[in-house]
Amino acid sequence: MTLTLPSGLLAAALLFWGWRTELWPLALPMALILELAPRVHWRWALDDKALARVIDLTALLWVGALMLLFTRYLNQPPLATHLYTLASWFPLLLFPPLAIQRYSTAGTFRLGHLFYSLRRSRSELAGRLLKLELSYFVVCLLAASVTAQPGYLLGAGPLLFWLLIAARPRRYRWPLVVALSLAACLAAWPLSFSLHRLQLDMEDRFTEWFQDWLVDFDPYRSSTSLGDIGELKLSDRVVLRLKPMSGDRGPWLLRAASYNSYFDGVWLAKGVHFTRLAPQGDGREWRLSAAPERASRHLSINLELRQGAGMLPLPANAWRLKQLPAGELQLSSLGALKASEGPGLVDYRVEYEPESPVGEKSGEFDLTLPRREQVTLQRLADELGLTGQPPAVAAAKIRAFLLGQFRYSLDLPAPTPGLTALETFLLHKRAGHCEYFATAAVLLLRAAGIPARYAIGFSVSEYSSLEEAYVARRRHAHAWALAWLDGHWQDFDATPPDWMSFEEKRAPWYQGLGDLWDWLSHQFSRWRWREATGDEEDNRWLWGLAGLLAVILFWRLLRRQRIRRLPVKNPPAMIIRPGAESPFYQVLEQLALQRGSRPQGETLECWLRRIGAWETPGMADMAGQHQRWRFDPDGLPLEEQQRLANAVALLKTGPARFPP
Amino acid sequence: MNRATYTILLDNLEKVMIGQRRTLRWLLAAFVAGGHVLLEDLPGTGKTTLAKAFARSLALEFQRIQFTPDLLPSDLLGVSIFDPQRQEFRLHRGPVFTEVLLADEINRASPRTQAALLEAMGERQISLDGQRHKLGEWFFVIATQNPIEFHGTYPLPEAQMDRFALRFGLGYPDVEGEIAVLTAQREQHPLDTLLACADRAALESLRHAATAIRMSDEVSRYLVELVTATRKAPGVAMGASPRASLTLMKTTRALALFDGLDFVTPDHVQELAVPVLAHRLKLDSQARFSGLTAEAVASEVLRQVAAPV
Repeated sequence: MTLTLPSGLLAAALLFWGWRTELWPLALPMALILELAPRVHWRWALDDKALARVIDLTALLWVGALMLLFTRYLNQPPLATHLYTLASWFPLLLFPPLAIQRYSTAGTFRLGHLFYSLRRSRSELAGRLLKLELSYFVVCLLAASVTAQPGYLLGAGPLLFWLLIAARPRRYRWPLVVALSLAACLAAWPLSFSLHRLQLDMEDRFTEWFQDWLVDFDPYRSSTSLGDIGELKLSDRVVLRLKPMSGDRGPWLLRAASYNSYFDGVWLAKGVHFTRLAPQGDGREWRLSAAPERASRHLSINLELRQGAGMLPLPANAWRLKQLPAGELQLSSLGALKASEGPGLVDYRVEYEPESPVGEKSGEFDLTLPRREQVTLQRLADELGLTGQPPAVAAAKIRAFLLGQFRYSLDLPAPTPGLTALETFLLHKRAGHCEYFATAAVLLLRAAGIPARYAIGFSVSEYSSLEEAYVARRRHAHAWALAWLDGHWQDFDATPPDWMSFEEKRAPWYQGLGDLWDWLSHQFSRWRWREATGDEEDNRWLWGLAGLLAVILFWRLLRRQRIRRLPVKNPPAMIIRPGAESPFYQVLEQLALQRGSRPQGETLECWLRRIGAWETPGMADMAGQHQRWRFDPDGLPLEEQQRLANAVALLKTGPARFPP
Repeated sequence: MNRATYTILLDNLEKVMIGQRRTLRWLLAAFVAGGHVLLEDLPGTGKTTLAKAFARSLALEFQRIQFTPDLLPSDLLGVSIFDPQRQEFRLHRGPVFTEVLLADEINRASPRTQAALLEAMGERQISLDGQRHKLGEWFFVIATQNPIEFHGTYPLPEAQMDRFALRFGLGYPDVEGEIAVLTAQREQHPLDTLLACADRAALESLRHAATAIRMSDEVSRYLVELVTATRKAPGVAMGASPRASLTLMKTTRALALFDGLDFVTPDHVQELAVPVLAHRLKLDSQARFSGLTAEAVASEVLRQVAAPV
């Protein structure tokens, strides 16, 4: 059964929408157009083709609106604002089909008009009638709900009530209907708040999921999962791409930030200060320290930055960055590099020299032990016999201890009562993830008198043939220790080396698809930021896409037999024009020159009469002879031809000239 | 001799239809070509008079039927009635059994009655009660219709339209012509004194002579190009049929005969193109509503297709 809307309801819904979205200058004429239809006594006779064109035009309108909002979004994130704007435009974007439905003789669209795949179909499905009114009414209410103004139910309630009253089965009495409607409205009131709550909740979830796209390191603070309970889950999304330039095979530890102070599961950077770096050369080159004496190695790192800002993961002892179009670059005293005012995607080259250490000295916080775990750590250091040992020996002992007696696990167990999470890890569970290992290593090194820091970043070792690069997934985010050995900071990774393969096994079966999606979105991102990343040349994929589309189009055309071979035309039959040599043509030409040529469709006699040449002596005879010569299949006898030639000659030279 | 017959007929008819030489010429051309004529014009322009004068001039048997919405095919064709004395059905012939039939206001009758004329016009025969009745070789229908009255009329179907060789109007006479009409009818109607001026032999000779008129390939090609152009003209849903080509050929031959020629010139084709083609065109609704007429389409086709010179 189709619900017939009472007249005036759609207009009211449109006005309601206009009032809520402040688009009433549009809503008012739209409502008028719809409501005037029954009072107007003409209709457009639109055939199927024209109706389908209306749908096509509406689709174009949608594409235009989407493009407009997309360009706006590129300039002014966030996305949600523009999605809301789009929703508030729904009634406008869907108006043309409804107006045409009201004003056309057809009075309704069919399903076949909506879908390309059904346009040529004669199936019952394609012929199914569509009444757009009710859907449009719902769309109006939906679009009106987008704005944050209060009082939505006050408007939408009466409109729905109106609709339901009109559609009410006649066997129900008025009072019952009114009472039920009021009850429904009352029930809807608290429900609407719950719905709003649900929406906010969903938005949070969505934001969380969305943020998973980008990794964000805080140079001052890093909350670990130490002490959390449950299972650590990190996604497989590719967040960083690395291309070694000098035949390196990795793995690489890319450090994004380092911290020097631990307290209850949180690592902090105390006493840190940032130094602004000055760009060099083309403005995209940055020097972090003096050039090493030996030839350095190169890496190319590709990373997305949220709103053009973030920490840049770097290999140890990096001394120069190239092709980094950041507005500002700051180097922290702990060796972290923070970029801001950059593009959304950076693709920078790093030069580093593992053998020639550069960088900051150790500071006052690098030997501090946290108060809560101090006793346990000291005891453990004593048990391991670390005190009094040379730093290298002590470090080797700690590494042997952690690698030999601990195992890697992503389970987050509950701490033993009375102990901190770290103590539980060290004394009881002896299993945990990299944050535990790194924290334990740092603190044990400190207990042994070796300055140490906690570093976070990525461990990169997976090569993707799809990306043609080494990739770091979000689950490849890693934590490790930095130890001050031999007068410089060294990476000290005490996490069991099988942690990568351990995580690998947990990859879902659909990871290949996810990788493909990541790759596609990365390609789009590269295209979007092509100027910033200097990728202008590399648009092969775009050509590939265009080629694919062309093939699809051609195949469709071929399949639908839109492309037909042009019929080979028979060569035009030779037209024989007997009498083409008639001298009367000279007369006709001269007359045409003097009095204007003969228009198509006018007979010879009419023309000659009109221009006043018919009365010229001999003209009628000449015209007759000429026509006989030209159009009589038997032709004009020779002597007649001669006579015509004479008459024409006489006319041209003799006294009997054309009358003026 | 044939040209003389034509001239005499034309002069005789012009006594009644003053200032209508061109119309009379077309009417005679249709008759000689063996076609029928649809006169479409306003009331009082002399359509009925023309038909009567024509029949009287040619000494042909004449019948007039006023078409009305309740006219039945049997009113037109006749009906078989049982004769109790002879114990058999006897056919009472309708008015269609004649030589010149004036179907007055043909669009007032229902399509069923209009269709009863189809066979008579197309094949000069009538099927009644399973028997065929020949109608005679001079059977000639002059139908009239009123173009401005639409209430209570049934537009002629395309098939019926195609049966008419020519459609044309008479138009109002000019001032001089109208004064002459008044003068001529001061004492009595000239129709009353109109005499027959051609016998059957003369008519026979006319028709026979028309078939001998030659038409060159060039003119034939031009004629066919005109007809096919109507099928592709903008705003036309259905163009002219090959029957239109045939009719155009036959009627132009008659014109050539009237002009004393033994071949058809492009001028003849141009003269008759609009009356022969226009009523066979069916315009699409968009063109109709935009005010386009079939005559305008045919005239435009005439202007577009290059005539041999």
